[in-house]
Amino acid sequence: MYSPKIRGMLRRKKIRIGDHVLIEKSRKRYFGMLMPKPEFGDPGTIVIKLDNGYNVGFDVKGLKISKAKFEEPESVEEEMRYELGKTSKSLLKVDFDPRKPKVALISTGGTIISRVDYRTGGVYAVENPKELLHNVPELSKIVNLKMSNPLNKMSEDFDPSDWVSLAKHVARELNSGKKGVIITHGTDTLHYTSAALSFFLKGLRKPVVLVGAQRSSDRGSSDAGMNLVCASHAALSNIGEVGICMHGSTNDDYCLFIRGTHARKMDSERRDAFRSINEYPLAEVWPDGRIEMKNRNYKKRKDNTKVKVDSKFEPKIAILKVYPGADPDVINYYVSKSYKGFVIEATGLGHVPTNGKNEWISTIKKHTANGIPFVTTLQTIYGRINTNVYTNLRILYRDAGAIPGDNMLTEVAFVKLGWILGHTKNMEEIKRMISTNYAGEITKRTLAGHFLY
Amino acid sequence: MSEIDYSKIGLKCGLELHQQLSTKKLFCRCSSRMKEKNLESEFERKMRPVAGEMGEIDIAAMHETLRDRSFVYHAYEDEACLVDSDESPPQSIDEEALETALAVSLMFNLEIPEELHVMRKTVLDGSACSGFQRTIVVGMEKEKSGIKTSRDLVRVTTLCLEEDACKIKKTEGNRIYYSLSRQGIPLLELRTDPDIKSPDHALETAKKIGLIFRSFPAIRRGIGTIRQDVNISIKGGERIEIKGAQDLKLLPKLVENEALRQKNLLGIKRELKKIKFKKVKPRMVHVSHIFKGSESRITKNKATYAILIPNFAGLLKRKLTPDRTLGSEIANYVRVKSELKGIIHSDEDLEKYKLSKEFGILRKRLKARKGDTLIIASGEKESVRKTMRIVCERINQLIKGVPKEVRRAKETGDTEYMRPLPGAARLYPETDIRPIKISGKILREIRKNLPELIEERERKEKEEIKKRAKISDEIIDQIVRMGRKEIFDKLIGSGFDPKTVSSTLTSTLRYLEKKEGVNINVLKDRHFLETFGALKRRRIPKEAIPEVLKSFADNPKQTLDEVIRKLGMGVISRDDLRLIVQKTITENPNLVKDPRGKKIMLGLVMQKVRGKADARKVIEIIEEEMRE
Repeated sequence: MYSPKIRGMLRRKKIRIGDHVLIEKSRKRYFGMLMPKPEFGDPGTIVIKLDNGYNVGFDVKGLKISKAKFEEPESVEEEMRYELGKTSKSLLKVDFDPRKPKVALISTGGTIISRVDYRTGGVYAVENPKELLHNVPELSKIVNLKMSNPLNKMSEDFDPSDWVSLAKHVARELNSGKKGVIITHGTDTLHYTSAALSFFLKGLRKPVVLVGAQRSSDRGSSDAGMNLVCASHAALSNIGEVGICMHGSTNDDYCLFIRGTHARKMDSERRDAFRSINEYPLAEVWPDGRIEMKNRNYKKRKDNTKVKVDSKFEPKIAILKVYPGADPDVINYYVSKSYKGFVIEATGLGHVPTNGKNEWISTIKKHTANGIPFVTTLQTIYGRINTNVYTNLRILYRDAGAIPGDNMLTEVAFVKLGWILGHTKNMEEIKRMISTNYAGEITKRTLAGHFLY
Repeated sequence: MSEIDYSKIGLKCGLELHQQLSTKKLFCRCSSRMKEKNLESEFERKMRPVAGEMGEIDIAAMHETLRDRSFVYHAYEDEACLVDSDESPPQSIDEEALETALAVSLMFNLEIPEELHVMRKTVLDGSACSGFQRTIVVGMEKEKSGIKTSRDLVRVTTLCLEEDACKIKKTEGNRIYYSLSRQGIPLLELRTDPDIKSPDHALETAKKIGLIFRSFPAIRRGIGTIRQDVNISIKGGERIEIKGAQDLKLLPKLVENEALRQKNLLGIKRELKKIKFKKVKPRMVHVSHIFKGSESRITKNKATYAILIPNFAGLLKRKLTPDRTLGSEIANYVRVKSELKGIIHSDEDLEKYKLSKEFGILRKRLKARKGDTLIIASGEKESVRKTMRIVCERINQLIKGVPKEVRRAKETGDTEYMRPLPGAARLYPETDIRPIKISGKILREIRKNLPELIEERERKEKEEIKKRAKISDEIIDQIVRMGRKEIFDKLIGSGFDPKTVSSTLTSTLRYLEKKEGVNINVLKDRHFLETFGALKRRRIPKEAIPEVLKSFADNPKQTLDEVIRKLGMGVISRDDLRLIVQKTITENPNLVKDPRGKKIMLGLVMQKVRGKADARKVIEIIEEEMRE
């Protein structure tokens, strides 16, 4: 947004964003199109797109701006024709094919569904499925997408109530006969959402495919297109589960379809950031439609079953991480703020500080006795909690009453505990439920190839 | 060829120079040295067209094209990181590159924007891994922006700081291999207005701009570090962009040939107007039966089609430039735009193809008159159809004159069709990088530290040398141009003979580099000082200087003693030398009477002692011995 001074000046001269203007400054004149202020530019600088397409900023001090006659920029047709290379076949307009299987595309925002306004550089969410075909026309040969936009949020802004409404939306789509569901989603908290849907969608026997993109779709190299294509194949696959479908490598070769309770974002930047932890990914999905199963342990599609939503959720759960010198008093603070349960990311095989002045045992024990559950998960990310190997483990899990989270990811344990506490406050029941496998979140066997897959 | 009066034909010519910087890459901290050592990773990507200003059909067609194409990128250890492979967002701009760009902008008296905006320029041929190149305007034209030449000011339109693109390594079918090493290297892109008035003026302007560029320490030198494109038009013609002229010396020839080509095309236009030539349509006739049995491999056993161009005879062999006829020009379009390699037409020497008889039959068959031209092409029907469309389209363009296009410079100074002239580049803001505010303070700082123009610096250096040593202007010139003034001063300052020093720094080094392939850049001051020190103390003869320097260059860490030992040097004693001379005389007794004997003898002895003896001393001994 421009500064009030500039806005006032533009208003008085009836100049709007996108108008062709003449800038006069220290006896020099520049023609161009008035651009909107980029988010993090200096609000006292006016930005113009020069006739050569470049943007430049002028300090408003001593500057005169006036409307100029707008001239249509030269056609880019010829350049396009060059870029088309040696093919000159003209193609038909694309649209979705009603004979293709119906799949719901639920858009929640994020990089994957955004498009860029080339004149202003602004980013907007795509709202019309046809617009999606502009970017990814091959979708029409795979699925007949029905698009809805219940949410438009960056994934870091998601909260558990969003998972609930999303689960309801998914169930409606599936129960009305869609072959599968694709959810476009920001990548930051994609794996939290996938875990939540895994627990919330009871009796699910169709694919619910979450998909995001790591590189914006304005660029030719974006991963969005291939991810959407693979997600469409996954949505028609024989896998009746919630999963994340994104690039499997830095190449544009295949995507991984990872179970919703085993996916984790392992890199802040790379397109192959989502990895399957502690089990093999369910499948490799190739853009040409090949689906290579990597894990035989999955629920198969059963089209005639109905999905129920079981989304009772207790959001007052805290995730704490222990570290050398960590003071257990933080737990007392959370409890005083009426937190109902904790996931503690423990060290090594599942330790917390056990001896010395910052020991956590007595605090955990005290609150457990009052009915507040403490579930432990692993800072190592890979591996499984053990309750026996060392004395300190026995103290934590026998004496203090902490609940081992087995080989669940922290994020998954967090969602699962919230979901359990939405159903019961009974400690024994909570313990039983934590160790019950509801959505493939616990794998009983660890194989050599799981590590860093 | 007669001289062209360039002002009369209204030559307009502008340059677009691309100069690499030697800083780190523009938006990551990778090396820009392009050594391509240690392949760190290889990966394969696809490119998708991106929505925007493009029409629906274009996009669809483009999807079709890009679908089957893939790009393999090679990342070398020091020269590509995840920013280059488009996994990570860009880092902040390289400060040194930015400062250099701003300073260059000031040198050309350009206006620097108060806020710089990084833009993305869409590139879908794979040469930018992300699908776009980043570019920034750092200088805008104002009054008196430009460069003074012998023929007025050549104005400068813009200066941009941008990222260089990937270098293509090879193409295998639909798979294109690129190295990421060049991608992201800072590039200054300078455009002049079309103020250049003649071929020589183009060279002068390019040279002057090059001199200003080279005044900056962060400018990269060497082959391929500066690339120049040329824009040329003449009155009645069109703007033609010529790409890829790496050799500066080629510039005048390119300008001359292009002006000539446009002039000749306009001549053809006038002729066609005179005969009221009508647009032709690609009406193909299937004539395989005529050509099937031909001796020519081009048409034998292939489907052949023909078209007839009425009243066109003779024009296809018309010269456009000394190396290029209208026929070869059209064949060039066919090669670039279709799958076929070319066409055969009736203005050619058909004996060459062994097709005279067949063309005779064809002429009768199509009832062609004498003034008509026949063109055939062989291959798959669709490809030939496309080819004939291209041929007719190009012929029809002759009616209008010169088509706007981009041409590629050939090493001969000629050019060939490359692609249509692009419209305004599709630029949109790079949202991952904040706009960069350029304050008055920064500008004052940069203005204060502007380097001396290289011309000025060199002139001063030459004068200084002249004051200190009596050597020819030519040698002084060489020392300065090769940037060896500093070491020259040191050696002279240490009291070494100016003649030996200057010839060592010029001809000896040039000999070592050109003839012996020695990397003379590793030679440091120490190596020169020690070599001359040894000479002064008579540890080595003058003749051994090249060998000593070569040994130092091969292994710069050696000590002088090691070098002397390794080369088996050290001056041979007078007695030993006398023995060698005596032996040589006994081996070649007839030389004693030969009038040139002394000279030949010297050669033979010097060959034996290999630089371990001073030639003057050898002559002395030879004279003594021969007298006896």
